[in-house]
Amino acid sequence: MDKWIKRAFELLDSWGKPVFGLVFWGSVGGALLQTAFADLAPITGQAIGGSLGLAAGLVARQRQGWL
Amino acid sequence: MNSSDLDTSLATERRVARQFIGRVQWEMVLIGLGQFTLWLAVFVAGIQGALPLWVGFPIALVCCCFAYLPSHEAQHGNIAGNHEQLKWLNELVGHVSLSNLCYPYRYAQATHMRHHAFTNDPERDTDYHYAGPHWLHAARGVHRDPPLDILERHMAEDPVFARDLAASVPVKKLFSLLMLLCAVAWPLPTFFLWWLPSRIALSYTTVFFAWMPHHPADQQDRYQLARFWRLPMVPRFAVQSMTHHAVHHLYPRIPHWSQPQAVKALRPFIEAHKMRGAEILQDYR
Repeated sequence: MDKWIKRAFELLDSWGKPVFGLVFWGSVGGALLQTAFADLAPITGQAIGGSLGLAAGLVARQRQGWL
Repeated sequence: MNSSDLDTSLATERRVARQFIGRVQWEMVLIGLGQFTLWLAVFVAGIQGALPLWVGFPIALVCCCFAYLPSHEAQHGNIAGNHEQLKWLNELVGHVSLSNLCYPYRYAQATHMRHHAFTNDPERDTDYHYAGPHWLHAARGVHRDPPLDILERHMAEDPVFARDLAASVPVKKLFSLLMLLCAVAWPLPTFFLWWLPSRIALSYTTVFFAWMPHHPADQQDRYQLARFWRLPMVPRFAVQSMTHHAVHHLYPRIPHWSQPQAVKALRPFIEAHKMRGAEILQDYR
């Protein structure tokens, strides 16, 4: 069990920031974009926010920070 | 009697300081638990649509800005003071008050103790990465990962530090997960009432608690670890009285709320040792 928990934490350490960026900004960015542009389809806003969040998360993973 | 006749020995200084140490700092219990309760109420009201986000945001921001100080006092054991039976209050306030900042108390405490032990030491001070020529360096730096080399050095030297850091990792991840779930369920309230206020508050805290009092962070002499300072037209309450953080570095066990009186009592010692910025104490209120 300890081994699995350790492995899960290693994965979180490694991929936590990109996943957080994708999900958090996909959701928040999508909602913000939809507030600003009422005609925008929710999925479009989420895709834009999520992509930007994922990119930021990948940069943060590389540079040890910024999320 | 002129100033050279004053006994400014360390023993006398300690005797003066000791009279301020040991009381229960109920003010910090009130601020710590109060700000968290208010923030939670605002967050829930924002989720339910009972409070517009533009009204909730400034309230949440003020709450988050007041999150660190009570925890800081708890880290030093200054909430319970010398009252052994109330030590649980340090833990309660320390953990709860930092929750809206998503900051694990054990991590804050472990690294802050190292900051006091090695203030301004580039190799060992856990806050040294906030030092820099401009306050923006600190405002941005708090959102980056802490310097791993310094943490690893302390972990190798002190198993208790290593244990505290290990204990704080799941807590940090739990906070992130909780925020993520809230963002999926309630994106805009989570952004405006939690994520954004906590990010701004972390920058505010780092600038006024770490950068301003220690700048330029270039000396390791006991009396020069921090400075007295003030900003024109800004009352010290707006910066949570970090203007006299220098006295905290002399006596970390003096409760924050008692520091103004302690500064007045210790002023002869502060001036005798030519502490930086001591000239502002001439008209200190």
